[in-house]
Amino acid sequence: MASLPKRIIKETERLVTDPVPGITAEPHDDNLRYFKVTIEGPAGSPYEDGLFNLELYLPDDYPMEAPKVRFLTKIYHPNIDRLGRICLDILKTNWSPALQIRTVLLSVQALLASPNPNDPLANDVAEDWIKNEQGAKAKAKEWTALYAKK
Amino acid sequence: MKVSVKEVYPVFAWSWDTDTGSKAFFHNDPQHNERPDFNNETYTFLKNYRNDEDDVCGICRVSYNGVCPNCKLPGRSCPLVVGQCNHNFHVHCIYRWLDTVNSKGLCPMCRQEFTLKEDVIINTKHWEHFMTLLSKNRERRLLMEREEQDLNNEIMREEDAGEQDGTEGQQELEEEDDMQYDDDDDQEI
Repeated sequence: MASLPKRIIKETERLVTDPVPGITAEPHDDNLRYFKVTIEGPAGSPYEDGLFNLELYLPDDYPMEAPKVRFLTKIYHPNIDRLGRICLDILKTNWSPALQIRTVLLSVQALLASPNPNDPLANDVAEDWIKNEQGAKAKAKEWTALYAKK
Repeated sequence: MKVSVKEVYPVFAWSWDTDTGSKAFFHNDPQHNERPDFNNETYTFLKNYRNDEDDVCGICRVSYNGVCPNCKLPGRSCPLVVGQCNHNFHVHCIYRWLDTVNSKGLCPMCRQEFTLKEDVIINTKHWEHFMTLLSKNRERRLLMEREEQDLNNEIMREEDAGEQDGTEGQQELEEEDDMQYDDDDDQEI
């Protein structure tokens, strides 16, 4: 395997020495481009008190290409589908090499705080969210208690 | 007491003169809106002194005076460029980014269209190469947009055709198959 670019080493060090509140990211022992990530559900959202597991992978072309991020914990959210795939512009068309692992994870955390049912990935969830927001939020809270226990 | 100097070891330091950095430094100080009356030595010292976290390439996160990930020696072999938007990058880093389709020709920091700033000395050597890159990138984007448009039109046409006559699509497919066989024959000859 090719040696790890300096930028990735720097980012990893900073994630450990100066972590983002409510977010942890640790590289895998066997593959330093593969990170085990946890994100705490933002306070005031239906995901409050939940701890969500994610995986993050830095492709060979990183930072020219966005990291691949996926939820491993089941979550009821209009922009996250059953497979944990996330619909977030900065992970696709609006990626910029000035973004980093920490800023990406912060954006994912912000997405939990403000779901966007008008640009859905999980169509049924988004429909539910638009038709019956209270009910959908209650279900999201239920799933959080069920699958994202700390 | 008499001192005699036996040997002298001069030490030199250098940094890219991006101009923007020094201005930003002095603008932070309300007392000195203009370049203050420092001698050149102090000026240079202060300018280098603020070589902190902010003074790294926004793409590779290495100091402006350092090298991009693919170079070994800093300086002329791995130069810096200044954008019209005052964002600086190692020339290799920004070229690599602008060469991707995803970049859409935008600055990674502020998402404005990235062009080189005029009247900055360190940019002068790069104009020609940069313009070639820009036009290449623009052409490629136009081509992709056109292809996408064509594809959309084709899908719409097929949908229309499908509504009018269900068998038409089938016929087209068969014709395409025939053409493929023809190609194969040509290759064998």
